[in-house]
Amino acid sequence: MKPKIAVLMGGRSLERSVSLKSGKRVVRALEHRGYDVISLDVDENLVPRLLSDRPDLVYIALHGKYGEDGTVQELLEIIDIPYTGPGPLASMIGFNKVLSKELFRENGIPTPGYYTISSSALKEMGASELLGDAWEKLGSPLVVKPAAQGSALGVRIVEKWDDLPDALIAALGYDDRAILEEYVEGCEVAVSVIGTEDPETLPVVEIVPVSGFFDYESRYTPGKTDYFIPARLDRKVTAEVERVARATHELLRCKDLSRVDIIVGNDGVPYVLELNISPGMTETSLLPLAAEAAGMSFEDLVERLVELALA
Amino acid sequence: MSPEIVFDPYTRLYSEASTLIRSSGIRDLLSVTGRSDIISFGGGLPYIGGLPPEDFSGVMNDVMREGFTKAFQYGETEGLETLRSRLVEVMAEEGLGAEPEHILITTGSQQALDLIGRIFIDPGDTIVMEAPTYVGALSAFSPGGPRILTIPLDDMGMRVDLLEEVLKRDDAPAPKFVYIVPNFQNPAGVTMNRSRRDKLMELADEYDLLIIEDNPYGLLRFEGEPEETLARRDPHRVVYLGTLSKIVSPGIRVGWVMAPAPVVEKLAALKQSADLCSSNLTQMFAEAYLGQDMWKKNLESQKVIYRSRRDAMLKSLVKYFPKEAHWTHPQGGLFIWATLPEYLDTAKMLPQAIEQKVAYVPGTAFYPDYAGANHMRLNFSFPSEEQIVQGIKSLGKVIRKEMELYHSLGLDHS
Repeated sequence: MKPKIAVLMGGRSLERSVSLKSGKRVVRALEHRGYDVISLDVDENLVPRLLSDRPDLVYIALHGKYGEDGTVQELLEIIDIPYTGPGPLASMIGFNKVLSKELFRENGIPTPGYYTISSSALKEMGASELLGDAWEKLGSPLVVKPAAQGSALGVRIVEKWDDLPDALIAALGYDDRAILEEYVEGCEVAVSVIGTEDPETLPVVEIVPVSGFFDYESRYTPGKTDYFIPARLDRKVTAEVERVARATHELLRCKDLSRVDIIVGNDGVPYVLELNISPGMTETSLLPLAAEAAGMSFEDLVERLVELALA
Repeated sequence: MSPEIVFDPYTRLYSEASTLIRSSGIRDLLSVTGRSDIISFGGGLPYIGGLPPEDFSGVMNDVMREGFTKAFQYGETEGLETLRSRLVEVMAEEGLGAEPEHILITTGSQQALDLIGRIFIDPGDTIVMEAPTYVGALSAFSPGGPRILTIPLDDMGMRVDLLEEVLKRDDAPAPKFVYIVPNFQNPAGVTMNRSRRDKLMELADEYDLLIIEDNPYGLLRFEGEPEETLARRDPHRVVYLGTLSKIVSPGIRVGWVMAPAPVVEKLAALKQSADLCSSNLTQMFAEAYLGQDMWKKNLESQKVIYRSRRDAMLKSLVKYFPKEAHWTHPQGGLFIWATLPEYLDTAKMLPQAIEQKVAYVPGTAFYPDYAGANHMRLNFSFPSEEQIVQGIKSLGKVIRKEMELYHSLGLDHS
């Protein structure tokens, strides 16, 4: 008998609609492969449902808060049901760009320079006085993003000083803390890493948004972004990108899966922007794309993740 | 072999018009509001839960029993003759006289908007709309590639004086039509007063204008005296849109256009290519339902519910919104339009609101140029009174927090 799998999707995160797309595709793939599948839109009945249905495995197709920040993973540890993707710690760190960048920095993984600023520091400590310093030190343009949020929601590239406050407001709409990050010019790539010990990388995907910026719309609207697989990088740089992606995956002690987003600077250095523990699985998502380039169909990919989680 | 991945291999085939389709990330954000734990002021849903199901099933059973072969057959493009006669009676409730021959049944009035856009608009044509305006009209007209001229509105409806100023200019291109929602406007909730209606029709004569009068909410008045429809003043200058979506049900998709005969003919020819005909089944349901007095009784009880929900919202707004905010006082319909301090951006604030389990539609959705960032549309017909109080309370907190943030960045000025 094939195992019974509960696919978690939806939930109350702002990436709900993307997650529902990911989840439904995963459900279809698992059903085709003959698994007994339950779809669960995450709400207050999640734990009771898991306790009564007792699936053999939980497939996490959630994106954003609660699904990607370790919340659900912690629950599954308590209930003691195996699940796809990394555990609570890697999730918590991966979802929090401040924590992850700090770890990258300490462990020799290149990441663009940055400062963080919280809305309470602005409101209660007069922190706006420091923005000029940050602007000067990081140089322009710079990237403003929420410390914790996926799908590039709330991310802006700021070229003019006058636009900085507005970008901060947009970022702080998604999280209490915003990151001001050095803008690295170069080639944007995503590397999917699969496995735990001795993980392997899938072909590197190069992202070229038509608008110049890989925002929410570019991510989920076919035709708004061009992708190149493998990325148009020379062999040496590609190898370095893959090495750094694996090192990032291992540093955060990711189980089974992650997608590492990187900018290869014009200096050839791969700067890690962030690590995602539950990458998108929609028709325009990067992980399935990379898998396909490696000769793995979507169903193969999903089944592989299931097998890893059950191993 | 090119390594380039193409997700949408049809890109090169799409029409120019398809690139003009309005879409927005806000829709995705609002998808989370379908969840039961979020209080949504975002949709424009009538409260079907307030209707007696037995009335509907009784009528539906009659239709099935007595009209089975017709109900499941194709119908005429213009719509069922018998239903059109009933709609004449519905329009008479608002003092509007009509002939069934001048009516075309459409799949909701949204289809009427689409057909109108396609028979009147060539790329570059000028059309006039209110600012803010109905988002569905914007999306229906946009693919035609019009130049949209917006005329602001206030508590008394469209600023017809500003329209006149624009029309007076020598270089002003003659607009193909003026689109207006005169009663309980979506999104603003305001109703155009008598003198502006007079003035608008005078301008229509003087400048030979065609008016598209979209009136989905006219019969949802729960306070004050009704205003005369524009179509009644001059049926030759007005294309009138009606719908049963708000007074019976949006699920049956029955709307209609009343227009001068040649326009109806043109619209009907286009509707034929769009969908041949509207559903006989739901038209027969509508006809039978409207043929009994229960429709008025049910509408009256809906209005009682909407009125007390509106009152709950108005009261909560006074109590919980910052003093810098103001809002409209609709005498009917489904929406209140709130205006926040000019520096605020309700689209940027939406994730915070959703985090606090309350949602609304940001003002930008209702402007062709995405202006109106400091406004929000609040629907009061769907959430319960308790939800309204709770939701407005949460929203008030979100707004105050956002104002503090702007203040801390020195942005709290216009």
